[in-house]
Amino acid sequence: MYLRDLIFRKQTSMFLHQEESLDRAGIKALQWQRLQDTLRHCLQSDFYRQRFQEANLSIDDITCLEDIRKIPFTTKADLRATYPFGMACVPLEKCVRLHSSSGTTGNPTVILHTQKDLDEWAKAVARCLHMVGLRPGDVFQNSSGYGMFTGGLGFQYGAEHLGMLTVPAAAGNTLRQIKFIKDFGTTALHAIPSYATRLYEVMQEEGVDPKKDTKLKTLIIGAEPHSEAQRRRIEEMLGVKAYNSFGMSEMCGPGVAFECQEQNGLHIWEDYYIVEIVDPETLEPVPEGEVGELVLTTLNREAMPLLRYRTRDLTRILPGECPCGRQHVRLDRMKGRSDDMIILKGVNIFPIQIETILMKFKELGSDYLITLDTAEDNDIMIIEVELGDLFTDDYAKLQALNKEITRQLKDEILVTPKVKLVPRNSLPKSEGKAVRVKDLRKKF
Amino acid sequence: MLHQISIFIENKPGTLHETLGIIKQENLQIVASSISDTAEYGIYRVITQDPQAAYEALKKHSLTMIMSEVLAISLVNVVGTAADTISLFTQEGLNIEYLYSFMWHQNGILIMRTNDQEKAMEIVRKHQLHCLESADLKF
Repeated sequence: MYLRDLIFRKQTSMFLHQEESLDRAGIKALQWQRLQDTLRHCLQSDFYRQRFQEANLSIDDITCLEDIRKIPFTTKADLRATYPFGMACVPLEKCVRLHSSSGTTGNPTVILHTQKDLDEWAKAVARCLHMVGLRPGDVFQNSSGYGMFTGGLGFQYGAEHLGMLTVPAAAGNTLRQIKFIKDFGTTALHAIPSYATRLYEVMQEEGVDPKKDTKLKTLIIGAEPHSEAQRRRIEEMLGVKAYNSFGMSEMCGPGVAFECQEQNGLHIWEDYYIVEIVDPETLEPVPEGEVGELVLTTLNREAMPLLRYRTRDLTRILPGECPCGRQHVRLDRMKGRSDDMIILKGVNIFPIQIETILMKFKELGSDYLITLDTAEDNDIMIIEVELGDLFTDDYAKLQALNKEITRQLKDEILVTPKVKLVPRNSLPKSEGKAVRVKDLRKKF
Repeated sequence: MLHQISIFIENKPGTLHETLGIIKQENLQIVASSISDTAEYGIYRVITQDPQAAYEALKKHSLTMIMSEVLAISLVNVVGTAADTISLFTQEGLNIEYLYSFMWHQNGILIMRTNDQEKAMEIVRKHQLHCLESADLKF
């Protein structure tokens, strides 16, 4: 009887958790209480004790939420320097799992979890999935890599927590993914955007019509920057609603921020995180609504709380209230990473600007590669972009397309790139994140 | 009219070989083909028997391609017939976008595409030119 009531509540109520329904005052009060607990907990670790000492800071100096600005930032460099367990705030025997980054750009980073951390993480992911309308009865397929990549286990436990039937298909083997989608009646799929496109291409080759031959209705996309145009294209191709997911391994993984059914900004769960947006140069808060680097403080992590962690992700807080009624602030779509920014001939360019233009062209496929190179002491940008199905066999029309793409790109990024049309599936592709930028410039 | 498959390939060593390898793997008989290129890419145009089946087979390899219809005018194998035939089109102000040829049963076949396929068909009818159809290519 109890279980049935619970399921009934889950199916009808808008909010999965009471914290999700808090108003601004309620959120602030809870944050203040949790921040105090977090600080007391952090100071049990050598790492944070030393940090506070170096900054000549005492816990008594923090008398309100705004005082968080007195606390020194933490960074990926800290995680690397203390690799693997130097930032733990509990004894190792209280931890039940760790996730580690790939370490492609240096020492890997490790995030430790207690059982309570894992439970809270699953709750956060469940809340996100519930918010976009998923319920027990849905069949949730996860095409993320499992193992160390947090998109696998993160969504797995969250989807189970919500009570859906889960299909832990894991990454790759596209034909098998399509078979699962058909045979198990998958209604919701988690995939990175470039893989969603790949799935559609293979479906086409196999004669599967996603709109008729599958029950797919919801797609969760994230982990890879993509434009609004690309989202709309994926929605149209697969006949689904696609929701943006934001997470990062340092903050557990998925479940940090998620779009609601309005599809306009990602609610970040402020009972889990204190959100700041700072200027990446001055580290001062940016004026309300302006773009800066996202800085997060975890509020309910045991094993490895992070204070004022610089995420390197650039975004802004959307002004105004969301029509959905949730008062947790909304992050705008990520504008890129502060360390992704391309500087060419003194102009700052984000790959997402280029993608937004490319996605407007129906003649093009979804993959592209930006190469920065030096030619005769000049920095140049070469953009190779895959064609979709060939739309003409007339050279003049292909050249005209090339010209129009170049013109629109120049209007957007203010430098003239060299655009090269290439055959579909010819650019390097991994089952993980698509490779988008290559820098071959001579460094002086 | 004949069905022609046009395949977009990159202008770099090995790409044509790769495409021909796929055609071989799918056991397709090439009747005629032509390639032209720009600095960066080329379009390989190919006429095969049973074009619909060939198109489906090549599609599995996710080639970047399109199938379209082209005029295939059959000419008696005598000096000067090509020039005389082309003049019929140029006199009417048509521009020939591309042209290639092959031999078929002692006749020369001119494959061509003009900037106005409808008008080209009118000229074909008016002068009663003999054109090949895809079905004619069956052995």
